[in-house]
Amino acid sequence: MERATPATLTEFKDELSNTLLNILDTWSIDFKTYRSTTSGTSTAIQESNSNSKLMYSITLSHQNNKTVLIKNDTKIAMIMAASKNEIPTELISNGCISDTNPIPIDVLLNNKLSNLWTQRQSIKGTGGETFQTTNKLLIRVINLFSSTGFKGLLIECEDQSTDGITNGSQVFHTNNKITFQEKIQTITNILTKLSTPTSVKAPTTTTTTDYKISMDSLNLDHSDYLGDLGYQYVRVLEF
Amino acid sequence: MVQQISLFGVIDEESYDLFISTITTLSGTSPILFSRFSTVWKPLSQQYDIDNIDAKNQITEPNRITVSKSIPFNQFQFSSSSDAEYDYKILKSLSDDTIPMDPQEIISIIYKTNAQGSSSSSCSWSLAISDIPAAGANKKVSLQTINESVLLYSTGEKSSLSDTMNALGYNLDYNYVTIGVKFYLKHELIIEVQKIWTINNNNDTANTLQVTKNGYLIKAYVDVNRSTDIDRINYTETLLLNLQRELQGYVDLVIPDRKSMDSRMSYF
Amino acid sequence: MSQPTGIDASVVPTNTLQDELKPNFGGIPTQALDAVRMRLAQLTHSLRKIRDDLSRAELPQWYSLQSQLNVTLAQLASVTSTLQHFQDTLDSTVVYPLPKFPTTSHENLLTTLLRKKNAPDVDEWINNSKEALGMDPNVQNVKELERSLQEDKDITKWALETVATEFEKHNFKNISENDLINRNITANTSYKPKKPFSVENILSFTYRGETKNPSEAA
Repeated sequence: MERATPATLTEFKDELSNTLLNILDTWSIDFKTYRSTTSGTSTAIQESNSNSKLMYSITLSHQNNKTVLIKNDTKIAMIMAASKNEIPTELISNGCISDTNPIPIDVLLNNKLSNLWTQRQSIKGTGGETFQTTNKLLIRVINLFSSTGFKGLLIECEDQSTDGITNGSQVFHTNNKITFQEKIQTITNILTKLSTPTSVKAPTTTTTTDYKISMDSLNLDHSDYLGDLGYQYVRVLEF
Repeated sequence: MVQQISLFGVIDEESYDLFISTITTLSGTSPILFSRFSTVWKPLSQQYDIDNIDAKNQITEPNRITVSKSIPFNQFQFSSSSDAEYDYKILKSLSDDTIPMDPQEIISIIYKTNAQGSSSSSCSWSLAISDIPAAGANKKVSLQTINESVLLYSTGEKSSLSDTMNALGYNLDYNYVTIGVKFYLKHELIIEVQKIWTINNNNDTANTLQVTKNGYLIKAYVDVNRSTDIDRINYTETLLLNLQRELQGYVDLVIPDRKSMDSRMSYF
Repeated sequence: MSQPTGIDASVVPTNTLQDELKPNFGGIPTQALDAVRMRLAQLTHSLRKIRDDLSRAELPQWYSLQSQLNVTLAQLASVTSTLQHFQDTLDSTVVYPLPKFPTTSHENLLTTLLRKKNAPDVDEWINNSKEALGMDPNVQNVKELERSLQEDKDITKWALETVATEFEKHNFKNISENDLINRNITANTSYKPKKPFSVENILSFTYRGETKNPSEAA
């Protein structure tokens, strides 16, 4: 949701309150955009549009602060560990890496690869809320800010009805898509209701809605929770 | 970001047993086998003509990234009869150019999909960017900053390590296999005895060449977590110098020329 | 525990009693008794201290205990050697009460002093220590006793030698270069390890990918 105000979150919460089952942990997100600094002499890069020079990093606190790094053109996602607890022990025991916390990939990009990648945009959200609704939908809402101010309201929906909370269900991508679509519909209805008074903007064409929904998957053959989640964030947040 | 404080040495193959038993006695610990596959990647700068200066006008020289992972020992095929026992003696059977594994198979790891659960072995890689060791004529130990990150896995339509690194703007430069034993000493001091092979990959064939022919590379090091922890760095330096003194006249531990540990690209 | 040699110790009070009576001191081995008394006093003091330390809730450091024990053992040895030194004198000393001795009020003391056998608790100490040595408490045979002592000495000697050799094997401190080279001769090679290549050559490869024809590196 782009043309929302910080207060939209409260309104959204009010609308949701009837079906609210449980309020879970808070979360935060850090979304950064990088642009390749190379002059682009490669034919592959010349042929594609300027978006191919973009790379995104998404750090999610509710995913153990793991960072998903997504290159736009190649549709490749790299999942980076954030703490030394996540480093596979064989990497440490075989001396591939020291037994310390790895540095975040954002720091690496900014400090060591800054000749290749320049950070363009940083969108942050902190203190996001997580709700569990009666129809087994896990909804994460957060207000996003960039350096210039409020950017919009972000809503992440996760269907927990398929395999339970722990595993299996994909964000916007589940086995029983139809029911999920229905559930999403209730959310979009709320959004439409909320957005009517405000002026709106959609990704490609100007319509009456001001929200973007992504249910994309990075690779249809091999779905991956974090990879897909990151990709969906990129699709929603890229401008 | 770690500070790696290290000293290096070299021994010949005949001295291996004695060295192992010396360090075993000295440390009170047994040698532990390890193996890793390291791939070194260089920025695509030759094609792209990268400046050494970034957008903030800071000098960022193009640097290689070492991406490595462990090779599980059960993937090795040792010819000797002592197949079943993986102990330090295995290293003695590795004196020639060949490694106990199909080099082609190792190389293929780079181009295989790196997605989670796609292979039996772990799909995690460590990424390390090493700065040139600290300068100074009166340096007694080598002090090198290493920036490390961990790639848990990749995903997407093309998700091999090669695809991943290409997306970051890097191309494969060279790669090598290290098999060795290591000792964990007190105060996080680690001594590694290494055998290193380079893998040359030409089209569909790959062959290996031992870099450490007729001998072993000795590396004694300590990783210090924070570069600001001066006390710990000084303490560690003393630790290494004590080891150096203890082995004096037997194995000479030296600081290598810092230029040899400089993994920056040099384009002239 | 504090008085391992009951007979000799009991002679001491006699001395003080006779003092009071101002008898003829000529026949009294003052020097011997005083020497033994002094050393026994030291020993009982040390033993008491160890006992107190050990009964405390927090044990002292091992090294302080060890040094205490060493002192005590030295004092015990000193008592033994003093006793041995004055053995002839003490053996031939006979204790008898003077007529003025207050027999009624100090009957217990008198009977103790005039005993020819050890007091029951002293006997118990002796038996206990014999048992601790692994000997049959009823064996009084001197040869048996000596044999046992000899065995004990042999074991001590062996232990000392073993400790010394093992220590030397693991003692790498203060070894000169020559020692190390000599050690190499006995161990495996007759020379210092050769350096088939230089550290820099290898590092240039791992850090920079530079190969200097490794096959020729030797």
